[in-house]
Amino acid sequence: MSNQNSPKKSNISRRDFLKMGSTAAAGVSAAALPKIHFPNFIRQSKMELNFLTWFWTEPGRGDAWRAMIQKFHEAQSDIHINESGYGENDYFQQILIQARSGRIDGDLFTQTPDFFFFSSRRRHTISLEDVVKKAGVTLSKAQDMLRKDGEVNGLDIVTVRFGLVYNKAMFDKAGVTEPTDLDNWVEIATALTDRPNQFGIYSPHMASEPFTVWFTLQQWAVLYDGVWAEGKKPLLTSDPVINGMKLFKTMYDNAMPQGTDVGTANQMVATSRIAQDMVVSAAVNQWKTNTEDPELYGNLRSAAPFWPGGKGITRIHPICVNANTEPEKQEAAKEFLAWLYQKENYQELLERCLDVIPAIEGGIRPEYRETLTWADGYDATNAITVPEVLGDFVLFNDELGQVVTPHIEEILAGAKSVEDAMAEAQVEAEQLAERVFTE
Amino acid sequence: MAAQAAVNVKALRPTMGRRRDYLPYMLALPIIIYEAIFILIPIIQQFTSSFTSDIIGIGNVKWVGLANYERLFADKNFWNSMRVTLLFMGGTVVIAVGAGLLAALLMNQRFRGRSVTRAIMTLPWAFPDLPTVLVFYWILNPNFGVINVFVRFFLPLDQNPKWLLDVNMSLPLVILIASWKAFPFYGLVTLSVLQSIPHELYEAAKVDGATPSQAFRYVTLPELIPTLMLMGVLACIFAFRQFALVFLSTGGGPARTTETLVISVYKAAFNSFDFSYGATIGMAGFVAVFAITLLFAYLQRRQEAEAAS
Repeated sequence: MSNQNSPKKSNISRRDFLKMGSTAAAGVSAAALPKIHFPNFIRQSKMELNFLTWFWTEPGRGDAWRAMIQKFHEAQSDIHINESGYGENDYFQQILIQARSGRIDGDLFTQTPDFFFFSSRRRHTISLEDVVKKAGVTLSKAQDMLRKDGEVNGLDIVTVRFGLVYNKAMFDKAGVTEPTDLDNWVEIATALTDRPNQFGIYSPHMASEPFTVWFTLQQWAVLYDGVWAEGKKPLLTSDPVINGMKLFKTMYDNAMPQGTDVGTANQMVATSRIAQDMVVSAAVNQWKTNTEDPELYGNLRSAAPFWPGGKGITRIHPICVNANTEPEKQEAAKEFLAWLYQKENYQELLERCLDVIPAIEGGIRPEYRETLTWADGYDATNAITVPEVLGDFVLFNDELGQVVTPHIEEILAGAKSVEDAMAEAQVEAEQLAERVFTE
Repeated sequence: MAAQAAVNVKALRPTMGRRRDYLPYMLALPIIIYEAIFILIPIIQQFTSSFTSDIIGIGNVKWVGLANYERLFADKNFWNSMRVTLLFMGGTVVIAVGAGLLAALLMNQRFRGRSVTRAIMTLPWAFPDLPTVLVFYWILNPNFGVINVFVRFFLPLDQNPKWLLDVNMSLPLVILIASWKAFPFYGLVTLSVLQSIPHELYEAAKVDGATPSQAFRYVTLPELIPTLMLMGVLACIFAFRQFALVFLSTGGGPARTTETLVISVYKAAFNSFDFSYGATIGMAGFVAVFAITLLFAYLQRRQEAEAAS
């Protein structure tokens, strides 16, 4: 008699074994086999491209791009472009992590100049020479910085330059004119300040916005014709940087709305409570599209350079095709770019975005340029590129910013002198260089 | 047949006993697997990562031994973060638990509108972090903040204080914000303990001639101390882990005056992409919290032993 309560032996029948084996084999095969990409005509559906950028959240520019993409969708039926990305503050960190981890999560993506150097060196981009040929345009000389091994790897879709935007109506009311030199600038900014109702100037300074602070702070050293690094050597204790930070501190004490974040400051410019703003040219768009004051945009001007050297950091933002996406998606992305770079489409994009520095010859219509009353100062400013300002630290821009900004906070809080704070920052930047320049 | 059945029942007993023994383990297994995957393995990975050089995008991951720890001990920013963390932790524990205790004692009294007051008291705790920070951000704005009106009414100041931008005020203010947000939780827990204290004890104390303060000292407090100890540990751990409130309100600034260890970890790992150094700072924090938890556990055990004797 068999014991019915004894544990049942777990016999597997041959049929069960074969069933399990074939299921496992099918699973392994499915995982191991390369993905099959069917050509578009076989797939019988649109090629979907993910366009990764921060533009979608940028007032004015997002709408401009949506309009152009809509136009592209209407012009053809094979390719469909989807919005993808993050807000500007998150974008750079997210995409940098993606790039450093191996693959960017978009078929097309926009970049900052510093990030372009990083990503092209790490082979995230491909040559777009054939796109330029197909579009039949001639790139401006400045586009040479987007070349890798002689071939253009990114197409500039917005070049911005730092300059000083001011509200002419506020200047007129206070009886002041454009600054003639840096000392005069401090006097004017101070004269325009009437706390807490009106402020002479704004520049980002909040510890909770470190990237924005560092982004703008770079220009303050350029106001003394300085740079932050040469090659691998940080120059944080050089005279131009020290003088730039002293000027920043003076303006902060005399004329800035202290403790105000960028979003609030933009609103204060829009309501004529801040008279001047050290911003890139692309920022002006928001005051055309995002203000309740219809007079404001017409009152905006940019100051002719009154600082030594007259330079403004000029940032070329390219659009690139992901080297790690499928080949047919790369071709589709190039198709879109060739369409976008046709002169009339490019001009339309430039005008919709309210941009002022074209990437191609004849990229800006004179009739349009004449309408930009605020752009003369930007045009008169001499270009200095990000690699010229940051040296090899262009590849580690954020890291250098992480070193500098806490010391700037010490200066602003009056906890340390500019010289002492920057001397400490210099030591930390040299330590950073030792860690990151290992290759 | 009956004899055979009895034998079979006997044979069954050990098996059934074993099954009963396994049941708790089987029930705990899912959470053990979950914790192993999502907590234990990351801790081990973090520990091993702290012995490597892993700056994303710069070369390959290399074994560097104790180099990160050498850098850590020589890094004055780390010691600053440790100091800030301990101050933040201590300040939050004392103020939040203390305010919670006071609020609970108040809420334990009988008065009209007690239910409404209790509900209002819990509001700060129910607020998400971001709106809380935004509210305080505006209250404490050096130019437009409403607090300036009150301060300048009472104090003869030439200009508004800089509040969160002031290196001397930023940390105390962040502690106050965090405490304001946390105290209702401690208050509610304390209140539930207060309500479980038998009323007879107070009556007996009254018969013995105890004053209200003596009743609190000799009846209420001994009943509360185990809970207060536990809340102390919890408050320490919560304060140590606090990221959103501090990061959103000051970003660790100005001049690193509110840069706690978790913010240092974040900055090292996600701003400088130096994951191995971030892991090293994280390990140092882990050791600190572990030590504090052990200390509290020891104190609690000693207190229980004293109570038992």
